[in-house]
Amino acid sequence: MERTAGNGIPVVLPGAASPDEEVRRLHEDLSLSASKAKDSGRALLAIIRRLCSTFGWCFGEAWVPSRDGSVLKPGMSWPRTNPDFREYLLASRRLGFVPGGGLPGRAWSSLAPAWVGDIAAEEGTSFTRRRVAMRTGFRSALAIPLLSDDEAVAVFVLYRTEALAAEEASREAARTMAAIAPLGPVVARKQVEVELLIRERQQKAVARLGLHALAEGTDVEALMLDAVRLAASTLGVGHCKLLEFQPATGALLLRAGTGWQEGLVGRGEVAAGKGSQAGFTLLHGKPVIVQDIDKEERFTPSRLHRDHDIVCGLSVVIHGHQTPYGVLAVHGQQRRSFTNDDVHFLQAVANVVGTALERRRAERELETHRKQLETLVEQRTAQLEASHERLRIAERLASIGTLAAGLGHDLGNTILPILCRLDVMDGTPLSDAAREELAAVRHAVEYLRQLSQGLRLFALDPEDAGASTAATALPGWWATVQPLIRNALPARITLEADFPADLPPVAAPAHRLSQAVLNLAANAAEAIDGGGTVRISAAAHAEAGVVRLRVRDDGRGMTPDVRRHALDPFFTTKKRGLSTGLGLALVHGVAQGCGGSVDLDSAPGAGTTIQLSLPIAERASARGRKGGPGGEAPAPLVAAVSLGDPRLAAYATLLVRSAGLDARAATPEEPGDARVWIVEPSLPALAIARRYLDAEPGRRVVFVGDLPGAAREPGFVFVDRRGGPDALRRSLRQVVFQLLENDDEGNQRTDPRALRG
Amino acid sequence: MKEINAPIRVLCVDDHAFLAEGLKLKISLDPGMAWVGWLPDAKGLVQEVVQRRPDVVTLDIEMPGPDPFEALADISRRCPDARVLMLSAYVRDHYLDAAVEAGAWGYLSKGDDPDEIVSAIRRVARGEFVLSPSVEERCPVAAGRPGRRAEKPASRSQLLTAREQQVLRMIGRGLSRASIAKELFRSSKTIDAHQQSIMRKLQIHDRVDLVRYAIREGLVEP
Repeated sequence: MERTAGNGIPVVLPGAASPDEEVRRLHEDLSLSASKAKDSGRALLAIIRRLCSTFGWCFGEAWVPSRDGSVLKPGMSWPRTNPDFREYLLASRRLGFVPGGGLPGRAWSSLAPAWVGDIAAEEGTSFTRRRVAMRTGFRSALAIPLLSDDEAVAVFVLYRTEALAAEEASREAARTMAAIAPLGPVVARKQVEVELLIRERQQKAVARLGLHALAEGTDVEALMLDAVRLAASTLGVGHCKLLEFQPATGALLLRAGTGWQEGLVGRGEVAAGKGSQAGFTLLHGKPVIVQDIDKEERFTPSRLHRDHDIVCGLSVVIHGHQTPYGVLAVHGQQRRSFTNDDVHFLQAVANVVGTALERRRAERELETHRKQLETLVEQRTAQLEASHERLRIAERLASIGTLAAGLGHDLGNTILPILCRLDVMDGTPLSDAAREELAAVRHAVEYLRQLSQGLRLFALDPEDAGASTAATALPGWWATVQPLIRNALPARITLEADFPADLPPVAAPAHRLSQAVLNLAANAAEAIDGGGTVRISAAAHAEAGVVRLRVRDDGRGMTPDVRRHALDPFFTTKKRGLSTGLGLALVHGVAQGCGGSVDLDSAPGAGTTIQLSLPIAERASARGRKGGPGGEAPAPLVAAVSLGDPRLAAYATLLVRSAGLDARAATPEEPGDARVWIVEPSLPALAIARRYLDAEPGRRVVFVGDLPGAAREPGFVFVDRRGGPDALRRSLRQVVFQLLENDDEGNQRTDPRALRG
Repeated sequence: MKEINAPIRVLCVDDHAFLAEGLKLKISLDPGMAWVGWLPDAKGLVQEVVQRRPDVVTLDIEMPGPDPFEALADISRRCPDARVLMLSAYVRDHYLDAAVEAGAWGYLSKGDDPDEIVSAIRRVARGEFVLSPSVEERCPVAAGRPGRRAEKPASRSQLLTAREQQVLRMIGRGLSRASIAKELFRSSKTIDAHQQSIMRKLQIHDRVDLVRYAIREGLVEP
């Protein structure tokens, strides 16, 4: 078998001739050494040593194809410690040979020995390290590929200090090839073992990191540091960095790293985009391998790289939630290549970190949601509890109301006949003593009657909206509720009241007013230790449009804190069970419900005054209108009622009168000079109504009923009788108020006193 | 045709015999009035009115037996000369409206003074529509400027027909379907149909809730 050497010289390959005894022994020794070696590197070293010592080479080195098969990398050399070869060793360390490049490259690509018989005579690039080889004293070199399955698993280069003739070189080559021929598979297996070992180490590293990431309560900062250390050590590089993309600045922040100058982690930044390897990685979203930074054209090396003499690197993207989180990168200070396994490993590490970051984000989000949910549940629970409490209290109040209503009803059914019988007895001849007794009974029954009316005032639902149009005359109301309130107070308390007879009515329903004042009176009495006085009074403040109803006690008074919370619902200073804590809140509700307000004046030891400002009811009262310039009351407005149905006429008359107008009956033909005419619609009535309106401005006609086809003319109001009594009531109110407001405006315009004021 | 100066004939409908007796005594004191009788409920009221020819009927509301508003409407239709004056211990907007709608000439409270009641009977006989002061105070007909304050929201019970309101009041009083049918001289099926219609209009799906609603709305006293 003959093969052409890398130099083009034919070489006799093993198998062509029988190995001599020396070669056979060498075989055995080399096979044993290589097999015993822990890894392929040590096997190569053993082979170099034996070749040098056996065949008289002064220095030997092994070049190993990179894992991606693109370049020959420096492997073992021997002797390593001899200072004579130091310079040559250093020069070789950063070298790499592509197939066909330099002496090792030629042997690699041709799978045959190649040699340089006289280094000094070599020219150009055929012997890359010529000058340093000359300085070291080498004169000739022989490159022998170590083959396995027709692939070079390594290339040995052996050196001598003497020149080598071609014939001798060929012989040496053949001899050496023959000696190492069986070792190729052994070294290849060792290399595979190493690769497997590396892959296993990488997988173990990723698994360990994964466990760290999965651990309960993992600190992400610690995990990042673990990841960079693990990546650097597993890939055998000095530097590793984990960068977080900063959307605000567009830069990448060094979040964790190893091998970098102290103080850089947490502060150092690299540029995004093509301003750095990491930026470029993020830009492309794919792993980026850099073998030699000096030859890099895809991006500009960052200052971080320049400051740390970075030569090679591998960087991958750390994927985050929706957008990338950043970049994980390893770097070395020497040229090197990275295999697919390396890329996969680093990506796996980046994925673990990315997953942990995502998990932390999800956990935080979950925590936020959980807190929001808890807050919501707490709020809803509180609302529900408050609602239950209100319902319970409302039910209690309702049952009290039901009891009061039933009692009031039964008392009413009993008192009326008693009073009737007393009236009957009054008309019969009786002795004076009997009359006195009768008077006492009447007095007691009158008291009972007032009590029954008072009870009924409490009977209605406090939320009853029905009284939004209510007006209560306070003197009459007080006469009704006074006995009840008196009875609610302990005997040690004196009740004083002042309700002037000329108080205007207030726009608050009587029953709610009763509830409010009973609460206030009870509170006032409770605040008095021993004997004392509760004063209830009312005064009109026409300028403010209110009546001020005051309940005053000379009791303990409130501290500032109690005063601040006094109107809060469920706030109470009494023992639970004695108080619902609703009293003052209910008072507040009553005042607010009618458009009024509550003021509280209290100081410790100085008693408490609670003042309800209740709006004066704007009762339509033509009789009570302001007097004219001369001080005389204007003539009351008159409504003419021309309704055929006597009951309807009577009802309309009542409505008109209760609105403060005078009402008089009129024929459907002649409404007279009234301001309002209430009439059933008909075609003749329509014609009369037009004339009636034309005769004097400001008049109104209320048609009770509908007339199909009748136009809605100004001054006409049609009441839909299907709306029942309420429709008539509303329409009449509307008309009366319009008239009164028109009149009020007219008075203001013509009142000379008003002009002077 | 009523004679001039003839006494006002008064018929009382009230389940409280003691009250009716007291009222009878009081009215008997007045030479211008004549007591024509007392009925403990509104059953057969129209026939009684036809027979006894009262000028004024005082009619209680919360009584066992037929719905008094239904009886009132019957009297208004068939005996327009008899004027009905409601006399109740309960003063409610609903009752007042139902009474005016059904044909009453007035509304008095049992808490009123007996003289006020006698005076009201006289005024009604004269052709006046009468609300006693305690009623007007409680259910004001003209207070408050319209439009200044929110009007009272219309109750859903206004969607009900008179018959449905009547059935609802009876349900509120706890009457069974059969009892209501018997009182109204209708079949149970008809009452069922009324109840279904009421529930649909009020958006209530349960008979218990219907009773609650009736009580809350004051359609019936608890």
